Order: sequence, then C-alpha cells, then structure tokens
Amino acid sequence: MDGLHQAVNLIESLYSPQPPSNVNEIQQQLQAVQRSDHGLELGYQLLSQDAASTNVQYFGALTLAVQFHTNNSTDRLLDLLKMNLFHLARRSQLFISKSPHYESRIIVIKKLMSNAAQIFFRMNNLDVLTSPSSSHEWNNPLDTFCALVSHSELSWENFDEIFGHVESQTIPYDRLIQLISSSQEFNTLALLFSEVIVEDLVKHQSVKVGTSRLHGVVHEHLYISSISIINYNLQQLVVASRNNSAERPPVADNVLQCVAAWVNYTMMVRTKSHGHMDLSETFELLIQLMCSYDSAHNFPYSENVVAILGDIFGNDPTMLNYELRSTVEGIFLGVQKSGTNNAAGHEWMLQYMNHLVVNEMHEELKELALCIVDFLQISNLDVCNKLFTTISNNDPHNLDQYIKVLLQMTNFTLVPVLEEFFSVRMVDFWLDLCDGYNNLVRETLKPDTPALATNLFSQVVQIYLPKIQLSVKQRICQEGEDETLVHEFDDFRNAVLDLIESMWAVLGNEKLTDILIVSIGQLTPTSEDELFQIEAMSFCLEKLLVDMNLNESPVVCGTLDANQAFIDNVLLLIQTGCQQKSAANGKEAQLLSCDLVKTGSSLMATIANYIKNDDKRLGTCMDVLFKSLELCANADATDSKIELFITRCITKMCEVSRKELSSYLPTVLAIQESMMQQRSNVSDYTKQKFTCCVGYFIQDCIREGPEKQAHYLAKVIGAIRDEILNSANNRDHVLCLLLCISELASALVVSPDVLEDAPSTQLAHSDEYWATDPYQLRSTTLDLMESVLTQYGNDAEFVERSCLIMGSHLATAEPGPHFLAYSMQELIGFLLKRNEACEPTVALPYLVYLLELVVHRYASALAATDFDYLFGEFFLGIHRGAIASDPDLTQLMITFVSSVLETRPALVVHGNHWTSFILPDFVRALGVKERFTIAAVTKFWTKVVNNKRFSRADEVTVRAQVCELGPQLIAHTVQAILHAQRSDLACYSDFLRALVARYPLQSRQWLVQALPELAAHQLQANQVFVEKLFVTRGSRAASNAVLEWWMACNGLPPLTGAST
Amino acid sequence: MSSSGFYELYRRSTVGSTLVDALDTLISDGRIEASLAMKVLGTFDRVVAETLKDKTQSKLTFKGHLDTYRFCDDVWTFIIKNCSVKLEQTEDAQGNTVVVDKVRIVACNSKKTGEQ
Repeated sequence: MDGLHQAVNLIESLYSPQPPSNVNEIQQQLQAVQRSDHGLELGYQLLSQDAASTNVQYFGALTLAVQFHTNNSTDRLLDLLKMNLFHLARRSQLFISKSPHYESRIIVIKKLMSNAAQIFFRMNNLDVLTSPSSSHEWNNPLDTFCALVSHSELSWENFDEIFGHVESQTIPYDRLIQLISSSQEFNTLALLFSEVIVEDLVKHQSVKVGTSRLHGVVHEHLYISSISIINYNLQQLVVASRNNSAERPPVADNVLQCVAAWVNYTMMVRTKSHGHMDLSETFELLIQLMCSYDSAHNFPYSENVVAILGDIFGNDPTMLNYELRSTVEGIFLGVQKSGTNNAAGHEWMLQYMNHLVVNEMHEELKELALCIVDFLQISNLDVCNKLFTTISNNDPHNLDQYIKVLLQMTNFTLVPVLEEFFSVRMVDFWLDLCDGYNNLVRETLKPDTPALATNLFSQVVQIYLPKIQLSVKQRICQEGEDETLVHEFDDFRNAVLDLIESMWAVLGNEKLTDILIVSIGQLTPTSEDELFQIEAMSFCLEKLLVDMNLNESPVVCGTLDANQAFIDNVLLLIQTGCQQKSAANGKEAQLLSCDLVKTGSSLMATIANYIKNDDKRLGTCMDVLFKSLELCANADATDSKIELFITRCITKMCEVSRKELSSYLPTVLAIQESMMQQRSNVSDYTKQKFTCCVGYFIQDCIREGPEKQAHYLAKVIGAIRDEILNSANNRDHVLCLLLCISELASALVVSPDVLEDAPSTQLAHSDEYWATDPYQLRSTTLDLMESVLTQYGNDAEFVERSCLIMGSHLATAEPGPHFLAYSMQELIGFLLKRNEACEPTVALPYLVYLLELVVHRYASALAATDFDYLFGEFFLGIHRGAIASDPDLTQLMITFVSSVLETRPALVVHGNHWTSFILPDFVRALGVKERFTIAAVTKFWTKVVNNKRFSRADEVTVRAQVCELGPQLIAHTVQAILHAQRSDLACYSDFLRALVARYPLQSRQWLVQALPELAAHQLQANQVFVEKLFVTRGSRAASNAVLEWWMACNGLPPLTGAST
Repeated sequence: MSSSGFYELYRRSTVGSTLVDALDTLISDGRIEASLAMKVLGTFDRVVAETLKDKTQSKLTFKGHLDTYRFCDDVWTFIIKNCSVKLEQTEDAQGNTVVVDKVRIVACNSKKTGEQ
C-alpha cells in the first residue's frame, strides 16, 4: 500500500453502499495491513484524521482491535493501551464539545471503549501479571477515562507523562460527580464506558483461566466508581420525576441500560467468590422510579424497571435483600404476608395495570405478569407455610387479604393468552403451592387448614374453568392472530390440567371429580357458551378419570348413575363437533369442532369401563359413535382428524365391552366388509381399527368354542382375500388390507388374564382345533400372502407386514390358542421361500426379524446343525456378497448372532460356522466405519467374552477360542480405535472393559504387544492407557482412558469440559 | 457447564457428536485450529439451548415406573423403566405411543447461565 490516502480510499470503497466488484480483494488487502507490523501506525493515522469520515475512524479503531488480538507481547499491549486511550479521550473531548458530526462518532468511541475494556481484561489476567516484563497495574478504566477526558492539555506528545500520572489515580467521589455533572455528554460517555466494560466482561466469560483476579479488581475499583455514577444519576431522575413526572430526561435510557448491564454482570459473578456486590441502593432508587407517575397517567420508567426486576426475579431473586423484597411485595400486592402495607406503592400498581389495560398494551401487561408471578414464586414455600401451618404466626386478616389479592390476580378480567397473562403464569404458582401443601407434614397443619385449603383450591378451580373454555380459543381465532397464540392457549389448557390433577390430591373425588360430574350432568345446554362449559369440565374430568379404575370407585360410579344427563352431554360434544366440522362453517368452527370431538371421545373412551355396565347406555353411545363416523368422509384434514378420534373411541369401547357388544358382531361384520371395499371413503386407519374391533368380538367368542370363531374369521379373511384378488394392482389398497389382517391377528391374541381364567380343557380344545384348522385359515392366509408377495415381494412394506402376520402368534411370551399359530416348519418354509426370491436390502431385515422370533420361540427344539443350516441359507448363501458389501446387512447379521447368543448360545458356539466364518469375519468387522455396525460388532464381542447364558461347556469352548484369537482381536480393536471417530469410541471401550475384566492376564499381554506396533511414537501414552484400563472399573472411566489415548495418538484436543 | 455459560450436554446428542467428529477431521487436516473448534462448540451449546427454549412447540408426555432419581451437582437424573412416551402436537394425530424399557432424563437448571 502506497500511503494513507490510498488506505482511506480503500476503506471508503469497502463501506460504500454499492461496494465495487473487487470488494473481497480490498478486504483482504486491508486485513493484511491491519495484521502487519504497520497496523498500529495505520490505526493511529486513521484515528488522527479529525476530518475523516466515521467509517475511516471506525476502521482505525478496528485496526487497533486487530492488533490487540494478533499480538500477545506485553510491551506492545502498553503501546496499544496508550494509543487507544489517547484517541478515546480525544474523540470523547470532541464529543463533549459537540464538534461537527459528533453524534455519528459515538460508534467510533464505543469501539475504542471496547478495545480499552479488552486491554483492561488482559492486563488483569493472571498470566500477564505474572510475566516478568509486566510492571503496570491498571485497576480502574473508568477513573482513568474521566481523568483523561477532563484533562485540558491532552496531546500525543505529552500523553506518556499524563498517562503515567492518571494510570493508577483514583478519583474521589465528589470530583467524579463534579465531572459527570459538568456536561450531559460527559455523563453519557461515562455511563456508556461503564456499560461497555461490564457487557464485555460477561462475554469475556469464554476465557476460563485467570478471570478470578479480574473480577476482584472490578469489585474493588470499577464497581465503586460505576455504582457512584449510576446512583447519582438515578437520584437525579427521582428528583426530576418528583418535580415533573411525565418528563423523561434524555440520559435516562443510558442510565437504565447501564443498570441493566451491571445487574446482568452481578448476577453472573455472584456465584464466584469475590465478595458481595451490593446493588441495594440502586434497586431502591429503581423502585422509586418504577412507581413514579403523574396525574395524566404517564409512567416514564415503569416498563424499563419492570423489565429489569423481571430479569432478576426470573434468574436470581436473592439479589434483592429481604427488605427490598418486602417493599416489592407491598407494591405488587398491596398487602404483605407480614408487616405493614404499602398503600402508595400499590396505588401505582393499580394505576399502572389500569393504564396498560385501558390502552390495550398487552405485551407490557405480559411483562408485568411475568415479573409479578416470578416474584411470587420466590416465596411460594413461605406463603405455603404461613397459610397452612403453625410454624409462623401471622395476622390472619392479613393472610386473608393476601390470598384475596392472589385470587383476584388469577381472575384477571381480560381474555387469557390474548389479552392477559396473569392467569396463565399463576398456574405455576398455584401448582407449586398445591404441591407444597401436599408435601407438608400433617402434624404442622393448623386445625382449620384442610377446610382453608379446600376452599382456596376450589376457588382456583372455579376461576380456571371459564378461562380454559373454547370460547377463548374462538376469540383468539376471531382476532386473526397467528397460530402461535392458539398453541399457547393449548399449552395453557394443558398446564391447567396438571394443576387440576395436583389439586385432586387436596380436593379428592368428593370436592372435585364428583362436582365436575354433577356440573356436567346438571347442564341442559341451549347455547354455545354452555356447550363450552361442558367441554372445559369434560376436558378436566378426563384427566382425573384416566388413571382411575372405575370398577373400584363405587362413589364416582354412583355420581355418574345419579346424573343421567352426563353421558348425553358428553355425547353432545361429539355430535356438535361432527355437525360443525364442515369447511363451509369456516376455519374457526373446524378448529373448535376438533376440540369438541377430541374431548368428548377421549372422555367416553376413559369411562368405557363404566358405560359397559348398562346395555341401554352402551347402545346409545355406540349408536351415536357409529352415526358420527358415518358423517365423516375424509373430506379434509379436520374431517380425517375427527374420524380418527371417533375411531379410536370406538376401538376402545369395543375392546373394553367386547362381551357386552357381542350382539353387534353381525352388524359390525357387515360394516367392516363394506369398509374393505376399494370404493369406501373411510381412512385406512379406520379400516384397520374396525377390523381390529371385529377381532375383539371374535376373540370373545372363545367361550363358545373355536368353531364359532373360525366361522366368523373365515368370513373376514374370505372378504379380505376376495378384495385383494379383485384389486391386486392397487398397491395402497392391498397393503391396507394386509394391515387389516395384521390387526385381526393381533386382536385374536388371547390376553394372559383370559388364559389364566379359561379352563385348560377349553384351551386344549382350541389348540387342537386350530392345529387341524378345518376352515384352512392358516393356509388361506399364507397363500394370500404368497400371492401378494409374488407381485410386491420387493416392496419393504409388504414384506414387513407379511412377517408381522406370520409372527403374530410368536410375539407374546405365553401364547394361547390362535388361528394363525403357524408351526416352526411352516414359518421356516415361508422364510426360506421368501429368502430365495427377495432383494436382500429391501426384505432381509424383516425376514431376519421373523427368523429371530422363530429361533427364540423354538430354541429348545433346534440343534447347532439347524442353526448352521439357517445361518448358511440366510447369510452365507445367495446374499453373502450383498451382506458383505452393505454395512446395514452386516449389522443385521451380527445382531442376529448376538440375539441367539443371548437366547441359547450353544446353538451358535458349537456350530461349524462359528469357527469357520463368524469368529474370523467378526474380528475383521471390528474395523468397519459405520457407527451402527461398530455398535453391533462390539456388542457381539462383549457378549462373547462375557455371557451369563454360557453353559460350562460353552464357556470352556469359547475361552479357548478367545485365548487363541486374543492377539488378533486386540490388534484389530486397537487399530479400529485409532482410526475411529471420537463419537464411536464409547462402543469399543465397553468391549475393552469386558475383555480386561474377564481376561486380565492375557489381555495385558496382548495390549502390550499390539500397542507399540500401532503407535510406536506414543510409548508414554500407550503405557498410561494400559495402566488406566486395568485400574478402572466404571464405564465412563474406561471411556476416558480410551479417549485420552486416542487424543494423544491423533494429536487432537479434548473438546468437552467437565461432562454432565 | 461450558465456559460460555451453557451446558455441554447436547454435545452428546447425535447432532453434537457429529459436529465434534467433523471438527476433529478439520483439525486433523490442519484446516482449523483447536481453539476455533472450541469456539464453534461454545456457540453450538448456546444455540442449541436457546433454540430448544425459544423455538420448540412440541411436547412429550411419558408415564412409567420411576426406578432411580438423584440430584447431584445441580443436575437431576431420573431413570424411568417401562416407559410409554407420547408426543403431543405432532402430525401423528393417531396418538401412538412409543414404549421403551428404559428412559434416562438428565435435567439441568436453565436459569443459572454464567456459572462455570
């Protein structure tokens, strides 16, 4: 670069609104100079150009920052500091004297301030201080700044002398105040510098080492000057606001920003041991400012102070001492749990709330709600003790008033979520209070506490029920707000559910469940509002009943019996939802109809156990559900959703009431048959679940013998088969029909309870019957699948579904009689046939899944030769090449062998493939690169070296084999570790840990032999690795040993700190 | 807690460990310094924590047998056995639940940023 002029031109081009095409080149050229030895000189020259543009001057300040970051020399640091401070002081003097463009130059001043802050941090870093060339101490940048800016004869020539004088100078309080009072600009800059330093200090946390002393220096010096300036300014604002509340001086923003920065810093540094930085005086003044307002209802500071206090209460509430918290309590609530009330402060609160409500300042109201409720949460336990226990004796009237205010706050009169946030945030408060009450030691309760708690929480329920009504959601939708608010309202409803659940522990069925049932039952809805009331109560009731066994709750059942209209009203929710779901009614109606049906159908399903006891009632419910389902036609997303809710409810009802609904079987069969047809417009989910319902009814016929079951099953299977054959080319439809068979098979699985209760002769008869299978159901289904797979054999979904159908009888631990109880020969025959014809990447995973089930179920009937045969057919036959080249299939094979090792290891370890293929090939597989395969192969080897299912003979065989393979095994493992990625190391360390534990003598020898060959230059690391591995026992410690060795060998750093 | 005041626990997530692997490769290839990798991970810690806090709508509920719980060094650990996990507000309106043998929940205090 030829000169300064050229540099200025380049900088102007760089920052011009339309940068030239070679902007990258310019940037690189300038960066090269910034980093060079001429950088400091360039920075000085650019900053000395008073007439230069702000961009040029800013670039000068930036150049000093680059020099700071690229040069670590201590001598250079002092030069930088002096140059930076000189220009900072000069620019500040020009700012104070309001020289041309002074306002736009604030960005340059701010950068120079930030540079000074960085230099201050480094100078007070422990490493720099302990360096022998360090002789300078710089404790208080703010005092230095004030002293330099106020110096009347500042020039670069005499700067060394001036700096030497002011560097360690402490400015007395009076002088400091005199200086900042001398001009508004001086004051602004002092506040700004303080703010910049502490903000940068918070960011400086990324430097872990050496910050301890820095915080100490800040506490002893900078904190004192800064808080003096802040408090003086706050006092001035308080005085000004008393004289004229509406006026907000221009400096107010700077003061409050500086306060916020200090609060943030103090919060962060409080956890470190540097003494207590007390901001109490600042908070006192802030609270006074918060409460200032004039007769015209102007609140100049309230929003800012509420934001600062909200931040404190949300993060570190103990920053405010007890007295200040009591003052805030008096202001926020108008009443204190103990002590006198702050009527004047609370008057501000009421006026401010009113101001926000009247002016519809909902965001500000939300901020206030967050602040107040966060504050209340601090003393939740204290409130709980004072209210309910004898631990503290307070004025009962005061406590009553306190509770009254809390309830009023919860019952804020605006629309929750949309307009007010108090009720939303208070949910957490009440939940904590309720949990606190539930956890109290009963002996400490006051005599009237149970009544008080019941009364209080009953009121809370009464407040929240209207707040969670769908009318609110309707209003949110009508306001056209974005979906976020709708989601927020849903979150609010769910939070209230948690609260209701917690309050049940206090109120019990008598005061909560029964009351909700009675209230729902007593309503005769004639308006939308009443319907919404029913929905809200049903929504809560469902949560209470879902975990309750109604068969064991006669009182609740009695209440349900006494309120006959209850079921009708719940059904009305479903019916209304279904009637309003059409898109013609608008998006809002669709949204609400979904909620209505969801609540109604969920509650219906929850009380299915109760409903089944009354045939008439059950019939009514089923009729309504079927009619509602008829109205669904998959017209749009809402319609599909509603169909899904109703189908879920019907499925649950049929599952629970299969016996009571047995008379429905012919009807349901007819419906199901019509649903199976291609032209039916019900969703695939409904088709499958309806088939499942049919399955429940047929399963219930077990008492009448398998003959009747077989009769119906033949009908269902026959209908499905006909439909499949008629529409064989419609892939999705055929797949859905296969899923229906799968659902049918699952529904026919006999539950353990039935197995236990059923007479053994009946079960034996059924088993015999299904073995004979007169209706040929097994062969029909098998043929059907074979036929489908001929066409779709390489479609993963079809193979998966077929395997699930084939294995439906194998999935349960104790299988009962089942119409698809295929024999081992049938299953293996199916698998072998499919194996020959399949594309391995698509079908083999599902076939192996079924094979695993077969081996698991018939393990005792199999011999090692059988396993050899199966292993050879599936993994070493036609698919051998595909398996070797596809890591997913390799993983599949390894996982299969591992699963057999877990079930019956003798099948594997005494087979021919064990030594000829599995052991040598799986040793080589240790070096694979794919994570899932690594996990599988290391798990396999862990199972080999440490398997509790080994018999004595297995153990002896395997031990000899591992001892022989040991050196090779270790060499492959260690080599794999060396080239593995960091995230894969844990897999290997688990295996190494197991090996070291089971073969301690041999494995040490193998490791000592293998390590030098692989990492010859890391002798020290190798030795440490071996030693650590042999003294660690825990999984984490072994992982750390492996990681340390890996890092040493690969020259990589530890990228995590203390792990959580 | 990482140096930047955010927990490092998300580094063990799939996306975190993949990032660590990628950074290892870049360091090994001499394309970045280790200090830059640390800064990247510091940013990752912050962004994951902030994103999970501010930009997630989904919720999941779970039910199961609370087998173990402990509170040590400001970290809660819960081990829940036979747990059924249900995702709310997802496209899977069928409300399917996932049943797992064991769930381990590690919960840290999100409010105490700035601690080391």
